Amino acid sequence: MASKWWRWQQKSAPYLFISPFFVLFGIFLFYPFLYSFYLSMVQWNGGKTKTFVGMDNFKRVIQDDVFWLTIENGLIIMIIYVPLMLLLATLVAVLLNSNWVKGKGFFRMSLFTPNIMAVVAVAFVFSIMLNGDNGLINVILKQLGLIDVSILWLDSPVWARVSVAAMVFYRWMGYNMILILAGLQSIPKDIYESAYVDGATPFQVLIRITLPLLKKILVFCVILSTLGSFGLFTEPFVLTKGGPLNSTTTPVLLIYQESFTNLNFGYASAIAIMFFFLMMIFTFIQMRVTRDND
Amino acid sequence: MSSAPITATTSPKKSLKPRDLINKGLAYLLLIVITFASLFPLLWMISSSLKERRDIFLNPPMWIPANPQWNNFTQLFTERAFGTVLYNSFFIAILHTVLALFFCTLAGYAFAKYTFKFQGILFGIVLASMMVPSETTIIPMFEIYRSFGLIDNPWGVIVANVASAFGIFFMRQYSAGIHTEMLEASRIDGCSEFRIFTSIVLPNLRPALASLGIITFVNQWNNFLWPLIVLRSPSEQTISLAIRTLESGARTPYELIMAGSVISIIPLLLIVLLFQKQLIGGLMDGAVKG
Amino acid sequence: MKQKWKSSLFLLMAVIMLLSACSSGGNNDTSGESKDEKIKLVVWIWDAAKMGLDANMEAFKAENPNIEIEYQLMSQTDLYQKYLIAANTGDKIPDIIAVESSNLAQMVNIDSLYDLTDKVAPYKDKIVPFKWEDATKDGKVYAMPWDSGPVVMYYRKDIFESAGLPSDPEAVADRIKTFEDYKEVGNIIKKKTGNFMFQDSKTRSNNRFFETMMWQRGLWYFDKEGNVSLDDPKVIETAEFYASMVKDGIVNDAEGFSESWLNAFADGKVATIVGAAWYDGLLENMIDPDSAGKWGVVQMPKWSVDDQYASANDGGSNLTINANSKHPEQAWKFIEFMLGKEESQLTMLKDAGSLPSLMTTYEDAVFSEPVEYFGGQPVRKIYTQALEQIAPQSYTVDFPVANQLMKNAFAEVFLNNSSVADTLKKTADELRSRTSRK
Repeated sequence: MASKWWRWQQKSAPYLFISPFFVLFGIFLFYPFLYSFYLSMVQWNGGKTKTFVGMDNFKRVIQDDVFWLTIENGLIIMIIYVPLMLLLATLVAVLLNSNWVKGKGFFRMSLFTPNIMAVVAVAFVFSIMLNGDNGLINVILKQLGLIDVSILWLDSPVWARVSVAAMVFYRWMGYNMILILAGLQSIPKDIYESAYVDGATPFQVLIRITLPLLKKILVFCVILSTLGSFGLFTEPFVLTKGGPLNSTTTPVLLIYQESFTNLNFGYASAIAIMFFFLMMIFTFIQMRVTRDND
Repeated sequence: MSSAPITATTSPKKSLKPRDLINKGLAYLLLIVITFASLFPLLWMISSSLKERRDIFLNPPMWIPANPQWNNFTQLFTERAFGTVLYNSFFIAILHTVLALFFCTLAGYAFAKYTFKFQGILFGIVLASMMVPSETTIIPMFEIYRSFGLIDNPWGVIVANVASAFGIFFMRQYSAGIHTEMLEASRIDGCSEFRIFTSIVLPNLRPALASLGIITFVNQWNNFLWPLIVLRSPSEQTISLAIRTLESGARTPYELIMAGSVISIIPLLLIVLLFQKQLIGGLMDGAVKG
Repeated sequence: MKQKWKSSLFLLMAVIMLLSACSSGGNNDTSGESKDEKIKLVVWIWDAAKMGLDANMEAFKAENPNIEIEYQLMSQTDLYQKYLIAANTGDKIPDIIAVESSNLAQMVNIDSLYDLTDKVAPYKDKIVPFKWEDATKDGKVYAMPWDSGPVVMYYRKDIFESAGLPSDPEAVADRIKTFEDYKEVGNIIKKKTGNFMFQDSKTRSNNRFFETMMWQRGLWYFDKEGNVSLDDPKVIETAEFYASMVKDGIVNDAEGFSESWLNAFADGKVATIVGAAWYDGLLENMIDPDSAGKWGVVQMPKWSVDDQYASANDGGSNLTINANSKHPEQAWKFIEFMLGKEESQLTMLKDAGSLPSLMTTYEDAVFSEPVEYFGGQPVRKIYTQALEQIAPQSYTVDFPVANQLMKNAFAEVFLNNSSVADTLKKTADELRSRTSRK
């Protein structure tokens, strides 16, 4: 029954299955990866000469206020939108998973739409709505009597961060909702049935059963959103160009600016490496903290 | 449909009418408000696509275009080769998605359901590759792609990131929910690992496949950073690139950009519509009873 | 199961597409390897600039039937990014690259452009001198100048009138000779009509106004020796003056070309634009099409009446050739046809509104034509006069960095109320460390 071939294929299966990733990685990513390490130790402006400077770029990054500001921006933006977004996404996913809500398909499509619109188009609409005195948002807020003076959504560092976070929230809520919904779909019905038989309320079911079973998905969403906050590029680039005063510049945006506006490739690479290590540490901590004992 | 969708709140038999109604009412209200907010920018985009350039910026805004400029759309097809561009986008997005789903599910499942040597480190490498910003790797990547003849070639875009770390991570999380007993049962029956993958794992991952499929397709469709570098000839452009090339500083024709964005989103809405049905439907009814 | 059908169908489609790709895919080997007569040149350019070249394409094809031109369009920012990559990988494509003057020195510095020194020699003194500055490195020239953006002052006659000020061009030019006059008039207009003198963003400015003020004075982010001059007393003085105008409230806080910026013009709230000649096409077509006849043009104000130069440059582009191109001779033919021939440049002026840097075109009648949008004023004469008065200086290699830091400097001044002098000194030091200059 257990032939040699069968045993071999059983042992090697996992390695074979993951090989496409590693083959492609080896060909296309590995060398560029190493190259960026190399670049981080030179001074290069895109021209013919690269000057070796050792760890100078890294020293500069560590002392660069703007770099640490970008880390801070990532954290702030993350705190503003992630918990709220995941809460709402879970709530909506649960609703769209229940059997008494009508028109689920329509709601699902509509909520996913922000994610499929081109970022430029979304940023365009947001910038018009967030305009100084005449933008829709300020007009509405004034009508409701909530504010007297227009909020400078895009011109003040504080509000600019809120604006960018709002745009990111808008784009990614539906996306996370879909992910959580897919997770909910995989929870077998019997579990709920037996819970209700035992007399549990819907709320108890949500907290004690649904959420724990969703844990892996939720962890995934949290990690993604975290990486996403720091790796934000298109949204701040199109909406605020990182301003005002670098308040919405994310690390990735900074890397882009240093590479292609300032032509400081070596320095940009050093930032990228630092960013990479910080993200690895962050993710590692997150995975550790939420580790389940499978 | 005979099998009722899985619910998270299968209501118990007795329901307190008034409180129940209020809760349901609030739930609907929430959904409607969020839906409206989600669709509003799209509606604005459609409205803008039918205006003349200057009217897009009017304040107070002109909600319904005064005289719809259908020629914004026709112009894109006759003067900017949007037909070719749409074909290119489809070609690239479909191929990429199919390949990506295959590779990522395979690897994700492997990481989730097998125990093998160096598993931790290997997965760590996968995760790590997600965190390297592309700006600094662009130049060597360009050279490598060029040596494979992948520049100005749709395959240069299809292959890029096709076994993505994101996809693998995604599939690993969803694969974890598959009951190991089922897999073991099949092994005892003498099935090969790959057979187990195709006949048991894949069907069980339908919602996840649908989600990842939609997400991957949409990402590829809207992606422009790498295609910008790889694709050069006008005949190879994708739609997201074509819209981008309309930008030229102060003289940017916003009405065309809006029209282009509308054209671009229609296939996406169709694809989402097509596949979102996969997200419904119980698959794991009585999962253990293989 | 239905599912299996769907997936097999998909796989079938995929295989079909794969096969079709293998047959038709692969590189388009451009820039012709073949030895026959027809050669193809690839031009990297942005949409608005291409319009100018399009106007001359028929004439070009007639004269050069063996040269085929393929335009690959991209936005300016994308173009520079792609070029950097092409340059660093020795790519033979593109052959010709359009580059804005603001980024020219930066691109020249990468050392991947074809040396045009000998080719442009016959045009050296036919083209406005300042255009050569950014194109030159170590005595060699790497670009052919295209159009220029001499700064002038556009003003709304009706707003001036309702503030009790003169409105015909000669009188206005007489009334506003210096920036002090400009500020004074701005305050009058504000008091009498509540309108603004000009628009600029406090925290997200592109600094064009401030840079124009500097340029006209012969000042810049860097001095003639290449040292940072942001903390030079004259520069600080200029910045303080600019800030004072903002603090006086005569500047509408709006980012250039944003929705509120455009609407302020449409609502008749802004009295002037101190901007380059290319605003005229924009005014007529996009910014204020309904105000034909209400705008007039005069020379921009000077810092001081005895300043040597009267104008500055904002914008303008150039054409360059890739050093790795397989057909530099033909590429030059194209460039020379488009930019060296008076006819071509004049066509571009008429069809695309780009102001030639080729001074020999200025004798053409088109420059003395009355322009309807400006109430019949022959505005082009003002542009050429301004062109000849532009202080000869260049954007320099580090312009993009400097511009970015300046934007933040002003944001700090207006947001945090810090002193201009202190902020500029701090910014100057930052600029020094970033660009390794003194």
